Amino acid sequence: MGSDTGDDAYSDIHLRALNCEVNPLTRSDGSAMLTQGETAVIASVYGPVEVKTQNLQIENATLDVCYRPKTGLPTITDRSRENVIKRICETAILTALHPRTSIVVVIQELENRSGLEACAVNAVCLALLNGGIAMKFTVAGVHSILKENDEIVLDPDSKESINALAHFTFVFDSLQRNVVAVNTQGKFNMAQYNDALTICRAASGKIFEFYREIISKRPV
Amino acid sequence: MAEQYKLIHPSKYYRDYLNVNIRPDGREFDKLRPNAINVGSITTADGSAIVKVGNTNVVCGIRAELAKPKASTPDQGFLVPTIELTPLCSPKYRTGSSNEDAELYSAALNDILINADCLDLKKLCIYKEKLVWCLYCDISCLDHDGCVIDASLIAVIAALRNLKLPKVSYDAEIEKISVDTSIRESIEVKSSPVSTTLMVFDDNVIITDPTAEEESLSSCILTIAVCNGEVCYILKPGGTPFNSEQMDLCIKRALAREKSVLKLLNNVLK
Amino acid sequence: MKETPLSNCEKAFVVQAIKERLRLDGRKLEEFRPLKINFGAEWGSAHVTLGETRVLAQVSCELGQPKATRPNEGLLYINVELSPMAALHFEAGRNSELTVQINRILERTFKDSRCVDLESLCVSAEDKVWILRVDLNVLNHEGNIIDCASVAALCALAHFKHPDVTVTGEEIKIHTSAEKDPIPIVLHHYPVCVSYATFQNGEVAIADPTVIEERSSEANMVFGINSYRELCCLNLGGTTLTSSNLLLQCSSRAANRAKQVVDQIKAALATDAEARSADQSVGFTECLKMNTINSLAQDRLSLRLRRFNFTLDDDFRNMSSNSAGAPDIKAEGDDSLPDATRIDENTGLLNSNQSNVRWVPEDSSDSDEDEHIFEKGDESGGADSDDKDLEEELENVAEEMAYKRQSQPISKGGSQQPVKRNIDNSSDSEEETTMVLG
Repeated sequence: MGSDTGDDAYSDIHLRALNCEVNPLTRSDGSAMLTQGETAVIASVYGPVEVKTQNLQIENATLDVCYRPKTGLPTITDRSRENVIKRICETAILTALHPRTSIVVVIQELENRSGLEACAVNAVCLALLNGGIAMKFTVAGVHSILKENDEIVLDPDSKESINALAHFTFVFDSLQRNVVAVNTQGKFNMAQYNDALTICRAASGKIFEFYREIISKRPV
Repeated sequence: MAEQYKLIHPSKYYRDYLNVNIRPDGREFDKLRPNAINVGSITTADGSAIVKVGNTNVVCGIRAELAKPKASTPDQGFLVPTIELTPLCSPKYRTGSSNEDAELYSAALNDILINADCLDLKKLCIYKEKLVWCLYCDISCLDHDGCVIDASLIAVIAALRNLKLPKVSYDAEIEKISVDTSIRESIEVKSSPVSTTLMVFDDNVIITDPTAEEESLSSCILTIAVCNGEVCYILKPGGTPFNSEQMDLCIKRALAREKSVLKLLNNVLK
Repeated sequence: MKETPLSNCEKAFVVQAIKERLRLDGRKLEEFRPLKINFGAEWGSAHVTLGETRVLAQVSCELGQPKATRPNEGLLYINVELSPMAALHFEAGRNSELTVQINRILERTFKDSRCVDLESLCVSAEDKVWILRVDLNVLNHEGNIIDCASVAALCALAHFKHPDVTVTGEEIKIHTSAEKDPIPIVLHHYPVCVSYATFQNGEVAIADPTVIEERSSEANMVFGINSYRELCCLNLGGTTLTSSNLLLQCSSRAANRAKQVVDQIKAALATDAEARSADQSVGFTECLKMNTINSLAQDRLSLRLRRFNFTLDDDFRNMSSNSAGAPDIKAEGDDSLPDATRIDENTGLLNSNQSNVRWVPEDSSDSDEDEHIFEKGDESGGADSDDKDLEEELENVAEEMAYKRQSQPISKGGSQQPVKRNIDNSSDSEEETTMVLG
């Protein structure tokens, strides 16, 4: 796998502290609360459950994703986040296993101190694992920024990201470390993009390691 | 016979074409559809443009209104792009209820305009804290045959460059606004971003500028916007995982498109 | 998704248990679940858990125009959101009856009681005031959302600081936190909600009901009450009448509870302030059980009828006789366990035929004494309590509590073996009930 070489080349990758509590909620089938540095997200999963008739799909499970901002009503930005997470879940989950049902994913933002989208994707992935939803692969979201002098900063905190020229959020799959989703902000050239991609791809390994560590703690 | 085959097995029908490196409409994978732009044809709007990308047809009209600025940004005006998708453009949309596609397209368009730094919002300020311009860019899709974002972006840029604002003066002492419609000035559009929509068929074939039919069969749709040879927006919301080469290919195709669209824009707006 | 209906046997089980002064999670009738408060890194963000019920609160502010009728007062909005995260049958973005009810009770508690000093939120009269908005997101619904939400709202309001502004003529400059320290909100008093659910024709009230207790109760009482024992809001709802005696008793307890809760909130605020001044990390990381996987939900909500060997009365026997799990129930009948504490079939009260056998948490003599607290119509206690004022009542209760605490060691020496009962909430409870002798 190409990913291994990536890991070696960037052995000094530094992500903000990852901490999580799996299954903090009692009502949902699976849930996870994840903090990356000071950014915090809680995600819960129900499924497969009864589907509304208008959303019923004969061949696949319907995904119902709901993103809740911390304050106020969901804005248009929140709707696009919701859409991105929905598409990522559609790609990752084996929806064909549960036709005529629905899988409900709810994400609640707890604190946005930069890298919210990445944190949300990771929390959703942990919740899906906890909820026992069958997936093709797990996904890891990594956030990085472009600063002056072509410098790429991986997983910055809110202070570091104030003067960012561009933001990158990549989501990788666990099989080939290919790019499942990308979202960018600001202007950049191809070389800068590729730098960010390489660093983020290497960092995704840490997140997959973290998943493994957490899930291996599962009580038997 | 071909009609029936297409109806029953749309994916297989496409696959058969793509296996011999051609698309059903005769295009190669990276070939774009012809574009057409017409500006200033709507006289009731302050700036307008009609854009065709293949069969996709969008109209953009800019309505300039005077507004009070936000307390947090007292010296900035507003630029509000909204895309409307009515049943007129495609049978998959219904009237009334809020349309998710339209919301997402509008959000993407707004992001591109901000990222590319098209307009200096400070130039829309008439009097600090009291009066600014609010530019409503209403985009109506007449025919949805794929790549609505691309067409809408061209339309907004063309309409902004076509926009002429009347002269407004504000007397702070007596809080009087006077508008002189006889003198109209255009505003500076700092950059003209160009977006390209690409899709993936069967997890391996990357197709540029898909039609609505192709979009419905896609396993992944992504939008890339470029501006002066730099990338200013990439949105790939899930779908087929890409390796680096595939991603590079997409970006290269997007960069290649910029020149032709800009040339067309410059010609029309001369 | 509709809410799963509550089966008759589940409901009967809860009602019967309450009749016997028992609660499924082993609490006393007037006992509350533990309350945990955490603050986020941002001002005005709080995460509160009451048992397993969780609420996230965030206060935000913006400058806006005041109301024409009150030109020199800021505005306060409270918004409760029940998303599918709390429970699957809630719909996002849609106002259910429950949402409206909770919202209204909280508005009465916080807004109508004028606990927030709105005048201090005025920047320039008739032009610019601070508009505060409290967003309450319910994350997990395990009953008594209202108490949890009220504590979360109060914590968030007490924690919140709005940016400082300078007004020079017409111009208003909003300072960032780096330029000028943000200003906390002035709170005149600290109100919280305390809920009770009533059973047995409004004669018995239980504090801090869980979901199943809420759903099987006859009525509910919500007191919006502050730490100075002042009532800000009282909400009675349901299908039964509540006696004035019970109401008074509950309000007195609610006042005590409010005092405790407010003290806990103040302590939490002090801890947070200390951590911030010492530059320690603050934020939600602190409220995680670090990198753990919690056990399944059912295990955490198991029945805990501690140290209670009981005989089954007729109703119970009828229910369990057709259940497949019956052989598992070891404690059965007076003969097999002569020392057993047993339930009086007529009164539904707990009796013991052995003087040193005590039912924890309450022994049999306690349950008699409790009568005047919980039931109207009791001659000795009920008549007295009319004359007593609330303060005296409080002392009385405190004495009783002290007595109970003393009596507990005796029960530990009792010959009873602790009985743990586990129940699988998701399945038919009566059939799956098993008893484990620990």
